[in-house]
Amino acid sequence: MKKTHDVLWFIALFLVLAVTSIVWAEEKTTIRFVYCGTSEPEKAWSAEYKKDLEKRYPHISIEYIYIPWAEQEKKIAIMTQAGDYPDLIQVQDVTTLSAMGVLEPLDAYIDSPNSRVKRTDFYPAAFDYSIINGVLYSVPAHMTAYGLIVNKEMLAQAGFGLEDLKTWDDLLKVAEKVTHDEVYAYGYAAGLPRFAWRDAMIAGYSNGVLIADTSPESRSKYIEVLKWYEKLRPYIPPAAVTWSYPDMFRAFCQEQVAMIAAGSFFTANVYAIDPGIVPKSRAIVYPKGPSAERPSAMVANAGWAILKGSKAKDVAWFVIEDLSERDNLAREAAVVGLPARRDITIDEFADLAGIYYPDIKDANRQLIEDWLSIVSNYGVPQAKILRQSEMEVKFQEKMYELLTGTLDAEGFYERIVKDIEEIRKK
Amino acid sequence: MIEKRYRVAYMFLLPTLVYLFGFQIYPLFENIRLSFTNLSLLGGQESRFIGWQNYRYFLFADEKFWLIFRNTLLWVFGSVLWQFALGIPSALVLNRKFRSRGLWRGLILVPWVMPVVVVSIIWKWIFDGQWGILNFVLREFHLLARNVIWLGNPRTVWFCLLLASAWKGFPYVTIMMLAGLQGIEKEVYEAAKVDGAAGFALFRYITLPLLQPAIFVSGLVAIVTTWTKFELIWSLTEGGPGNATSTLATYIYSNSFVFYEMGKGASLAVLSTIVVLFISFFYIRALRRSNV
Repeated sequence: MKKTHDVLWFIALFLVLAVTSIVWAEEKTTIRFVYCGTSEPEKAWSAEYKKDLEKRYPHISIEYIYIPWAEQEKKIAIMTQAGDYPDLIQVQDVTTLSAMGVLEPLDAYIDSPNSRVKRTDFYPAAFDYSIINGVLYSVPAHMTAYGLIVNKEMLAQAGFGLEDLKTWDDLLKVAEKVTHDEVYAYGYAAGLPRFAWRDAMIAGYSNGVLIADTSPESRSKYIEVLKWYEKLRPYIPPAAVTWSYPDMFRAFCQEQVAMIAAGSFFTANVYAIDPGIVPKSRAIVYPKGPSAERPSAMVANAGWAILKGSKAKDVAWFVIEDLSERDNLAREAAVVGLPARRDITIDEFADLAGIYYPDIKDANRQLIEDWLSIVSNYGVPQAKILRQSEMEVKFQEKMYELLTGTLDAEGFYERIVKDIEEIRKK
Repeated sequence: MIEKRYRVAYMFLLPTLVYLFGFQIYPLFENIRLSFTNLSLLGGQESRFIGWQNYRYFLFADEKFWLIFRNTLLWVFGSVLWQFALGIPSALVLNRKFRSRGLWRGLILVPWVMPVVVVSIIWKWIFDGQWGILNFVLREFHLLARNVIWLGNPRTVWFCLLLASAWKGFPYVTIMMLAGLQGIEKEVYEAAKVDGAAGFALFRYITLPLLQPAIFVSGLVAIVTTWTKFELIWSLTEGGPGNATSTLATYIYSNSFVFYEMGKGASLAVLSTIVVLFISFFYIRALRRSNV
């Protein structure tokens, strides 16, 4: 009898513990968070944020899945095809992921009266980049502006200042003077499709044309962009046809090139190579081409999105709201870019960036000012182009021929129009 | 019903069978099925059966396919020939008696056991057109006036890729040849020497014919592994510029995981499998005919 009694007590105790653990488990939600920042400062920020959030909200726990940017879309495609949906994801260009149908539209969340995030909190150029066909797919955290980064000392040695770089013709004049022996004026990461395309996108924006636009109306502007690269050819290092971004940044740090078209991630990229290059560098809007009335700078963003298959969307949105709080957003943006929120002052942001780049604090502040001025005066949302990666391969193939002198601008145009139209038909 | 005495044996076989079915047979047939669909992860349309359309596209409409196919043959046979060109002499040297022979036999395996990504980085440093060690050395010795863009020049890029691939793969050939050499009886050489053979004649008429079984087997393995070797080219050139150094392996990857055209990628994979099966079939037939 006693034995039966003991067994019953044991079963009762077991049931109580089991139910309690289920209740506790239900109370604590784990958010699986795909984070793409793989540099040391970014990882440090992510660990710090997780610790902070879990302390403030004990019912939420974050489980990071670190995937580098270059692998992000591929991994997500495979995971979601297998029915494995993380909850939260760091995103840049949402075009491909939204076309895959894996992102949750966020309009209802942000427009809810209870939302702690408002559309008007952000720079319009950065915010619009998260919208595809009128649907919001991500909330921006930091923005990336693109322009021309110039080694002001190399320019000064050639007898020029930043104010001398207003048009493409100006840039050619400077390039002629700067290029000598094995020092070149213009660095171009033409070795990888993604970067070969991006450089031309930046130049295209400053001539009023999108290089994915193959309409007859854009023909002359498009050919002007291609001719621009023909003219630049003598001032680009021959090895640039094999370069990727790290090569281009290294050449810039070693003062083998005086100018590069790049983005506001410049400091984060060159800091590990040679922080000493930052005080010598300034960012300006890419000079305007012959067909543009004024230059334009494309602006993109990196932000946060929710995966459609997430089972904890409300908690994921809660985390996005938290990430978008003024202080949290400023800290994240200070690591790698510019703040996407408008209410963060330059002083405050430069101080935060100084934590990550202490020995170049003032020089980096100058660059932050440059970039924010570019965004305010010339910023336009970067175009979102479906199947861009396929176009990039076709474009780079021809750009290689153009830079090695085996194809002219007209021939390039005829072939790229055919290729892009074929891709569009899919 | 399975006989009782075989039950344990089948139980031991079960994990392997489950693995083979789950990770080899099912994916193979699923890939074949996919190759007849227009499955694309972009565009949000349901995939549908489109018959031979993907195959017709690559074989008759895609202007790149035959260039890439030719590149693949160059890559595979070029790599394998280089691997043998380095592997056989190395094996002959390592088969001789000399001090620290065991150490050298171990050291020669270093490229083979090294991760492909590391190998790629090393060769990228060597061939880099701006900062590369090769350009530096050649310029130091006044053999070059200006840097050569080794990986960006159609005349040199294949030489560089094949050299890197041969360096990575030749230790395997060396080890196989060494095993073959150790199987050749000393008496055969002694008899040949009595008949007046010496130096290269010994190699030509004794060593090489007796090494044939090892050459054929390691040749087949080298062909199949190089056919699917993708990381080295991808890390060094990403198949570029454009598709100039693309092989079927990189083209499958681009179509499936860069352009997300899964149906097209699957059909390329099927075509690639068929070609490698054909090569293997004729290779084995040649092997049988030569009574090796």
